[in-house]
Amino acid sequence: MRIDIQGIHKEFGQFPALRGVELTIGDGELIALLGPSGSGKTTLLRVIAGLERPDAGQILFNGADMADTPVQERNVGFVFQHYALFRHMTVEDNIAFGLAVRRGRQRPSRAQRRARARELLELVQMGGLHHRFPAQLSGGQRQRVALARALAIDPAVLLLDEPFGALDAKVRKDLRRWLRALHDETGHTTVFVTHDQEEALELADRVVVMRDGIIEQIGTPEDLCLRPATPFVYGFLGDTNMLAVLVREGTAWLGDRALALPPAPPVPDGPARLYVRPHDFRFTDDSDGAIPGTVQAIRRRLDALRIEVSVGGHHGPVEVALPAPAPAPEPGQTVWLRPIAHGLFPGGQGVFSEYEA
Amino acid sequence: MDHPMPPAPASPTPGPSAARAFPSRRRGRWHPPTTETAPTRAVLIAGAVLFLLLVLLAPLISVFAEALADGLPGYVAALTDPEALSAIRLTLLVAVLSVPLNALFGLAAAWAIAKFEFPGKSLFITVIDLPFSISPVIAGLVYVLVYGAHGVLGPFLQAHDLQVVFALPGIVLATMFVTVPFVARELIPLMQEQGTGDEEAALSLGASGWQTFWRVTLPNVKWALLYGVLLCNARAMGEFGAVAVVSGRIRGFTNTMPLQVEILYNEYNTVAAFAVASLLAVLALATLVLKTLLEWRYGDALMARRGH
Repeated sequence: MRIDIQGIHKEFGQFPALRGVELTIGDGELIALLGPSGSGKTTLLRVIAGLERPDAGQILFNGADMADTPVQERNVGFVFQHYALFRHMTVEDNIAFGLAVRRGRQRPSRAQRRARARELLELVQMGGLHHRFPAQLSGGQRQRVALARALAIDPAVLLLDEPFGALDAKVRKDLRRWLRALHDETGHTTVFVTHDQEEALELADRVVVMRDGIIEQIGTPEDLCLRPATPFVYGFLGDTNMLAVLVREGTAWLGDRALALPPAPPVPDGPARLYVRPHDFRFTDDSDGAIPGTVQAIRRRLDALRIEVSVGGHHGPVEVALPAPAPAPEPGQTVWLRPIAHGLFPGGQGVFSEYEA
Repeated sequence: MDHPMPPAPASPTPGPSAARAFPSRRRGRWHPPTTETAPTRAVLIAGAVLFLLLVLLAPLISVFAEALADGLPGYVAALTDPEALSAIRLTLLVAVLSVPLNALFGLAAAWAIAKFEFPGKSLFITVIDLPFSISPVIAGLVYVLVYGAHGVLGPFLQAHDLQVVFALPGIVLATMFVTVPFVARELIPLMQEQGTGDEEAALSLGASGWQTFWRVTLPNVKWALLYGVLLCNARAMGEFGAVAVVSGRIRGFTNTMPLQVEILYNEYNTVAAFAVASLLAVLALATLVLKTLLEWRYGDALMARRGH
């Protein structure tokens, strides 16, 4: 099902949670709403479901305005962050709930409901656990029961709020892969909320990055990684170094040094911010256009060495990632850094506050 | 303080010098920091048990002893006296009327407080607690002032031939006033903790408001509700002060069991007084047993919720 989100505004008291959100979700797409807490991503999900009423704007399901359709009639499968399983019902009754509350002809017989619940339990790989109560399940199992319960009503769209938030890292990774496979199998239009950029990038067809109630960027994981549209996206997607530079006639200057940067669209003259990810720095012997610095410390990580390089001026140390089996410089050594990829955004320092994980 | 304990098995056998370095370990005086030594515990427990015996158990036993002082026939005769029977009937009737009404009100109040935001909410919660802090006698007097012959609503009630004070309605009202907080107080914290997540899930699955209430909200609080009803019932049957003021103590008509006990006792009819009192005590004990059973059940439900 296609979902059009047009000019959605939502305030809680004086706090604006959503400020003019525009988004179109295609039929069968798997979309991630990514952002820090307070960015409005969960509110947007709840507005789509009909659990919150927007102050302005429209939600269209296949072109039909949903303004006067209550959540009961929107036919959305909503998976809550803490699952909200009915604790006094067995797994089977939980899954069949959506069918059991239907009225008249719509309501399948008890045997049909049971069969459907068992079928969905198989689908979420929990066959045989139908008689358990939620308290007797692990976190990952509860998550899958919640998903099965949402799928039982054959929803037009599947909405998941931080689906893996409460699970430990290993289970999270398995479930992520499994959810992707399930989506490819069932083809539901799916929207999920997450604050984990890795999760969004790995799972979604398209990622919607949100901040302070507005959309910063909509794009495929490829777009987001290679072409972050804003400094915020640059900072939110992963570790990055920020250097305040001055652009004069198309050249970025760090203090009194002109930097040789990879080709990029031009940036107007004036103060600007240069973003370089730790793994996009290379040590070089050629000082021309490179950033001079002194190695301060070397830290070991599983996948790389992290080298802190002080570059002078009023910057904090720059972090450089060096793939593991490479010859590392010594602390105190003078080095030259050359970025192989970067983002250059016009504007002075302090214009945006970087996300702090 | 020395008491026998096996030598600490930990650490390789200490040499003579090690024994001097850790004398306390060798003498086995260690006990977990949050417990007391055995003698201290014995003294404390004995004190508590003695207190319970003197203050609770001995009076309870004496109630039954006094009631049976004239033997079983005297006991049965005291309980089958028409006035006593009338008091028993009235007490049960008042409980049957006031407890369900309060359960209904408590559920509605807890629901409103836990699931909705509205102005004056904290004032509302305070008002529910009012009967806990107000003397029951005052509660009774207030009803006389409002509903009595010379009260605010007196002329209206008289014009319509409605008798509230010194009749069943007044007794029920006074009992309800005193027992209002029991159900609501049990439910409010539980429902607040549970939040609206389950209800939202039910609604998103297509359930109507009523279906959500009957299938999700009510089952989620059923043990707490029963527990509250039980406490409410115990208090409703035992209430003395508020009822004494509004009932008028018309023997055989508006006397409840606690009032009947007092009247009989004041008439030096000790056996009859204690016979009726013993019946009240039995009702209370039955409530206590039920409550304990519920606590086991309810405790499980609490654990399940924490694990959830």
